[in-house]
Amino acid sequence: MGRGRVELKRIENKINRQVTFAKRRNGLLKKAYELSVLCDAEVALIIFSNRGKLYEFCSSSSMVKTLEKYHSCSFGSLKGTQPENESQYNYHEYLRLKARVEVLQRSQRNLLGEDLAPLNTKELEQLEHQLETSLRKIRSTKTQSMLNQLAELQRKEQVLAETNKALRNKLEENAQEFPRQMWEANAQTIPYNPLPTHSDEFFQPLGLNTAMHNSFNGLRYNPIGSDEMNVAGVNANNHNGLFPGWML
Amino acid sequence: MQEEMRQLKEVNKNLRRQIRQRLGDCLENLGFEQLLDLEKESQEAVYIIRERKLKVIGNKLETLKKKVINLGCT
Repeated sequence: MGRGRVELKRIENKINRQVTFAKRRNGLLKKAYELSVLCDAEVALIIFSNRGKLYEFCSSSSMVKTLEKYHSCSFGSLKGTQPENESQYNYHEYLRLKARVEVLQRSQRNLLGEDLAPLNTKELEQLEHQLETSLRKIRSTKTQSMLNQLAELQRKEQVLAETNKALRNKLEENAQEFPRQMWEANAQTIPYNPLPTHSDEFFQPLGLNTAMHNSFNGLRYNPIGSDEMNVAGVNANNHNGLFPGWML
Repeated sequence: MQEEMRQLKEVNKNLRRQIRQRLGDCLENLGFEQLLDLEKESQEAVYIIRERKLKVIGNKLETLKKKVINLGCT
């Protein structure tokens, strides 16, 4: 066994071929028998020699019985009936799909830098080139996306800046309407006097319309707070007059 | 068997999509974070592949050099 390396093709020498056939045939029949005994399997073996002589083995009582079982099994059917053809077709489809998936998985792994052993220099070169090209595309897509985000943020910044400016102007107008003394005298309980109604338009761009109004209306100044307000009020640096800088 | 077939088709579809993306196609569907991850993976893969390629070529060079020396043609 294993004394000489046998190439797997037809043995040219007639005598060797015959001898080998006899030996291996016996071995195969013996294996079939052993398999059926050891593993309690129903085994049938059919061998036709080169000249057409039949050699067979069956573990069950009748070869015909085992063959019938074989026929009724979908994937092994030799009959040409419709349902069996379809099953066989499906099975082939399944095998084909399975093979395709395996190929895809291998490609995927290669693209990740895995399982590179079977690849030759040329294939490695091709793979490297493929990935470099794809990296270029990925990076240009990435850069474009970042530029889009940047443009969007710049636009938002502009809108907010304009809104802020409009609000600030409006507040300054209102500050001039209210005398400064009244503000300081009523430091204890000054409610926030709502801006004139058309200030709604300033709140709209931010979408905070009602919310902002409510939060401002809810402000009631307690003594502590009002002290700060007073201080802020008399502070020469306070441009606005009505609201201290930290509230803007 | 039907179930396995269905699953295989699903796996097939996903793999093809992923491979297309790794080759730089159909990137529009990817979110920004995913795009960054893909870039990183591809970059790392390129490093590994390049290293392997250089190693293989290097080995071949070494082997041939030895053969040349052995043949006495330095």
